Amino acid sequence: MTEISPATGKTWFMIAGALVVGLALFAAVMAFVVTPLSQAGSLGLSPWVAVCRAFGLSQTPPPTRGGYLVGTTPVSAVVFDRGLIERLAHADRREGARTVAETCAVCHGAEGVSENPAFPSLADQSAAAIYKQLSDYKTNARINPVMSAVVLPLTDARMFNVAAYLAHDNGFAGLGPRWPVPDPEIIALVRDGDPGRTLPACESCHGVNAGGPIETPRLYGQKQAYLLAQLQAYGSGARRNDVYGRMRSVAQKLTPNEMTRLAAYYQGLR
Amino acid sequence: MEGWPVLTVRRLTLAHLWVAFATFGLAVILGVWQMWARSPLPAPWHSPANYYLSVTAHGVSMAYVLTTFFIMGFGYFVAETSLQRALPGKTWAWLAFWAGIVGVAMTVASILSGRASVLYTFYPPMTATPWFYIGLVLVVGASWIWCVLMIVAMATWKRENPGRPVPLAMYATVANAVMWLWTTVGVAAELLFQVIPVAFGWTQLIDVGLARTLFSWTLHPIVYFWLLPAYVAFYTLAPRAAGGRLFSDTMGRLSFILFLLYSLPVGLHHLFMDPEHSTGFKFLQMTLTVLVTVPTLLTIFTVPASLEIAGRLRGGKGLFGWIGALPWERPMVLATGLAFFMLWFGGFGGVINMSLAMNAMVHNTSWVTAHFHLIFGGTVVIMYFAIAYEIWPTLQGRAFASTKLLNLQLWLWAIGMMVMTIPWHVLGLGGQWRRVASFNYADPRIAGWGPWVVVSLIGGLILLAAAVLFIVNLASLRRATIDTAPPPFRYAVAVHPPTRVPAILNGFWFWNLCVAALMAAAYGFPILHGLAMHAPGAMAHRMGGG
Repeated sequence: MTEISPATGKTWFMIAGALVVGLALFAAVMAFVVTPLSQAGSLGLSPWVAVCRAFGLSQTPPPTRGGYLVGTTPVSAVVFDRGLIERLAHADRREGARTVAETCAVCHGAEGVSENPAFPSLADQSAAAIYKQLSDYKTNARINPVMSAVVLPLTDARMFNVAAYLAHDNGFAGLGPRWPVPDPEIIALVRDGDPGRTLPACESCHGVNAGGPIETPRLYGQKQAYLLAQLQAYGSGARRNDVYGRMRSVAQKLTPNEMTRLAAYYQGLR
Repeated sequence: MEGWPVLTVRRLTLAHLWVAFATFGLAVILGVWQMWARSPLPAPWHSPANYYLSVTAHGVSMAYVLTTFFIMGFGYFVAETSLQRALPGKTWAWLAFWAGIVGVAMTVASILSGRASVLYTFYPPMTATPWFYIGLVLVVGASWIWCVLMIVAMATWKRENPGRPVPLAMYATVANAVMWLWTTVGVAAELLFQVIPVAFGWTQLIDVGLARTLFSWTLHPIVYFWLLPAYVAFYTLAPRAAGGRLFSDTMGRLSFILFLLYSLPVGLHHLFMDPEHSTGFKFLQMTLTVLVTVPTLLTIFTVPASLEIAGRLRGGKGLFGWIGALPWERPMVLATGLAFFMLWFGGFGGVINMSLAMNAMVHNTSWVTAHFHLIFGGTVVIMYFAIAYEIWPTLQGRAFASTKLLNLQLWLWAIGMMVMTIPWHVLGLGGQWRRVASFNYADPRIAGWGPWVVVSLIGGLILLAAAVLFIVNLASLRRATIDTAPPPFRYAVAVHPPTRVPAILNGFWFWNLCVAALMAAAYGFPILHGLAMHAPGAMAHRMGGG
């Protein structure tokens, strides 16, 4: 083995020190400069704020537009917290009745039962379900040429009133009795889902008192054409206001044939 | 140094190892019962309180008692056999042993009282009786005495042998001692300044974010503290046992130094899902974590290269022929092969865990439990067995008549560990939570987990059989006749035995400076920022209704 002179020994320390410091510096530059700056643009942050946030120093939330992070796609702005539920419970149904008569009844029927197969019936739906959709139209989370225009003049308070009025048991006939469609395959799908495709049962959310999300709509008696159009829109991703993509993930796994039969099943037979 | 005939730390080492392995045996039984409790089969004494009591006892026994006592005992043995001089300060060593025993007794009594079911990682604001923590502080204090003795032993030897390279086994052991002193600063600060005052009821509030940060300081290098004895065996025992030579002494030194450097400033990767730290520091520590793979890969190269030398010396030909030519009937060789096999799987899982983004998928699932059982229970503990089999004849002055039962035990352990942890990995990806006492398998969403858990229970039973056989194997040597006394204990010789090494690879002062700098960069700001923010405290949740 060659003799190691003191000078060589010192060189080793220099090289090792430079390597340790260099690697740490590389890690730091990646962590505090490169990554924050590369992400700053899509979040709408200034470079300085992005770097400060990487250190945990800036409490500034990223800029938002219409309640959403800039650069992100809105799913829904509705959060069913206690305040919102109380406002729904204490809304002015009398004012809501006026708005429904003036604005909604033309298409959705005076008593919430639509005559046009393309328009959904609103009878039997919960206030949460109706408010969620109205608000989503308003924030462009859900887009429909007619509805997006209709909600434009509605204030938040008036949307609460409309939802509360339609949900209230005010003598509406409701959708009336139906006969179930005898389609065993579809009934199995509705009741049990299909574990092989990780498809949950429809009834696990849409069943009566099933305990799904509060905004889950009732489906029994709904217009077949409307239901089919919604399943197709979820399947293609054209409709995307379902929180966590629940309905999109379901609809993507359904075949066109199943969609048609499901829509028929839920409309039921008169 | 042929004039060193007497092993003066025989009783000291045996005392430590028996405490370690007796605790280990009891903890394995608890582990099997826990798998039973989580399975669809009805387990006796099953209640959430009993489950968490058992998990705490299992974790504390395996992570603190088995490891600390094994490492101390093996360290004393290495210090004397590799330096070939009597261990200095044996009185201190015995003092540390008894302090550790008192600490273990306090901890065990606390756990059995039901007032310490906080798991071995503490999870404040859950608060145990103070005697639980004080017992553990005593165990850590005992290990500090061991660290000082290791450093003094090496320093004394270097003074007596100026310019000569410290034998690799001792250099690695001191690397572990130095690392352990750095490691325990975090948990010591957490216990002394935060947890114990709350446990005594002097304050009611605890800053959980700071406590978790300080524990994370300890939580990663502690794993390497457990691991390094296995690496000592890889580098200094396995090549000799296989009949070959260590491929590179320098590679070994470099690996242990890199473990010292990069096991410490990386603990935030245990807190990727915690809100109290910024993404920047998580990213920084993730990047530093990646560097831990370097010494692992150096080892994966050097140790098989050393074994290849042995295989070819024994007539192995061709690209892989040397593997078959290795003396697999020798426990140290077999254990090294099995340990590398498990390291391969466990290491892969670890790369998932340490990735800032992928961690979110597995963080609170059985995947993580599977990972650390495979690395620690698999790779590390199987090498503890092999080390015990290797040094026990020297300690007892007797030799094993046959290695059949020894090898059977190693095979059982490796198979049991794979059978247990593969289902856990699968279940973790399926979303099965860890730290949960039981599952409602009547729920169709998780009913499919049941069979996997039963398989892992079978793995647990195989592990239990292996643990029993291990104790039987060691005990049988106690009764064996003395006429087959083993030759003096030797370590692997390198292909090019070092006559001089650069000072940087023969000591630690420079690497301590590097660790200090890295720790300041990785933890300085997060801890100071946390202190400056005056985060609201969490109410202590006292276990056992106290």
